[in-house]
Amino acid sequence: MRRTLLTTLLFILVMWNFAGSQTASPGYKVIVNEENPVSEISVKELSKIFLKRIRKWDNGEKILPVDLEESSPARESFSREVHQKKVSAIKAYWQKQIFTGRGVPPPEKDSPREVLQYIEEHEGAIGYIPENVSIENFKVKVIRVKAED
Amino acid sequence: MRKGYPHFSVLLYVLAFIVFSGTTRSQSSLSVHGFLTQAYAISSRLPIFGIDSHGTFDYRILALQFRYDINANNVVVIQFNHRRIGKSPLMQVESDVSLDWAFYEYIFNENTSFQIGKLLLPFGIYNQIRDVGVLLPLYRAPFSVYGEENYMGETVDGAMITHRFPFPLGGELEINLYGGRWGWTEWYVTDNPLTGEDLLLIGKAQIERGGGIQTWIGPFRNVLKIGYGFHGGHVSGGLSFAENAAFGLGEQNFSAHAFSFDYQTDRFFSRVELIRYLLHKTRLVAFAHYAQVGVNLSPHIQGIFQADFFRIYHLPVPPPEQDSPDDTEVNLDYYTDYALGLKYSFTANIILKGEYHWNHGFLYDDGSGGLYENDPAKSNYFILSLATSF
Repeated sequence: MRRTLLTTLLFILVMWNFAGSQTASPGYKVIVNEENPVSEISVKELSKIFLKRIRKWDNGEKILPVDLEESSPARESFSREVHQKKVSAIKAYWQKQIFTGRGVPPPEKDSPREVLQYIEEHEGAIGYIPENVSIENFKVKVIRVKAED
Repeated sequence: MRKGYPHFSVLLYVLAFIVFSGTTRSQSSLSVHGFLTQAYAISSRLPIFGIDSHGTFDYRILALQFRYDINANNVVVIQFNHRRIGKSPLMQVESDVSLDWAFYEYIFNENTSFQIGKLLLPFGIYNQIRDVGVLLPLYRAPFSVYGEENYMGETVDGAMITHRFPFPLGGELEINLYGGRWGWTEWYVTDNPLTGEDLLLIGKAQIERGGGIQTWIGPFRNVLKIGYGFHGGHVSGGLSFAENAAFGLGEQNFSAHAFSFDYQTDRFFSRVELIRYLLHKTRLVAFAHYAQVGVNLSPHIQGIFQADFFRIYHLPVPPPEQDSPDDTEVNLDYYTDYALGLKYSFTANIILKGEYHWNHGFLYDDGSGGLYENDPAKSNYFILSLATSF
């Protein structure tokens, strides 16, 4: 019993000692197909969409999130800002989802251009690209990300 | 698949890895995933977990999973595995490839789903990912709580419903409610009375009318999850739970309560779990608990410490082993295990781990004679493993 108390105490002490928060500049913009009626979305909803915890738009259309590949700086910013986790933590989340049979991650695209093409081709798609990448010549639009619901 | 071709499974995995490792770049109804952890393990003295003092490379766990999303609401998933545990007596009955689990899932909405089939028992932090090397801090999930089939169900033949509620203090409340039947593998090495050689006795106790609940709340502040689980049922058969069996405890009801604490930040993680099993008729109590702490020493390197304990109360002593008529039961420190590990992540999908365990107790494989005749012993061991997944 003493060992149990000691290990639990150790856990609690270290837990609070290491609690902290991180901030990161966005460095990305969120885009959807131009036919999508949505114009803004909350950070919480965005996180749930990319974790596939929200699966349908309000109009019933299936949501198709698309990620940038894991080494992309925009993905790191998105992950920090939206999920408040590092990309590696989100990768671990998806490993767990996969091997418990609960789900598979959104597809990953190698470049912003591929993300734009994917969103243009799929009405229910949503993705993000670096802030400085132009969306001209693609049938997509940028939506506003709200900090609160 | 015939025994004697274990490398076929590894080749199949490598082939699947090459073909399917890029499937996350597309979104198709059928997806194939897998994991492989290959290890080298050596013990300092007594054999333990199939590891002896000569060392072994015959130590791995591999799985291939096929998932078919029929549509947004209907899913079928099946997973096969191949496992080697070195020179463990369990290898005498282990098939090269076996069905890990398979289920059909109906997703009602974002918060509610129903599964039926051979399901992963949703127990504690690790049971559902107990073999996934890239997700485990060390080679195996803590043995005290998760075992290796012995007295621990890994899957349940039955059904489960999962529902999530918003939780007022932060995060959400997840409830997994399940019922069905499962099994506990029991094995002992004893002396063959005719030849004097070691004799492996192995049996499978059945849990009927089994069921349970696993709840999770959090994450609080995006870092802390707390879990509570209960399960129970009626256990019979096998080596210990058949009426008049050699190791007779007799068939009876059992129940288990478990608490889990899982704290994780970018730099640090800590996990503590406690489980208390009770066999109702014999009043036998098994109390298992562990604590893990991990610290990221660099973006790729993590140091891990684990302390793992298992104690048994009211263990019946069979009449031939009783020193006096009052000596009918005993309390036993079954084992303690301290481990230090170092993990190097090449990527999220390729991880190298080295770990050293200081173990003391009755876990060693050469347990000929059983708990009542043997003394506890030290069996330190080292495992170097490479874990991959796709």
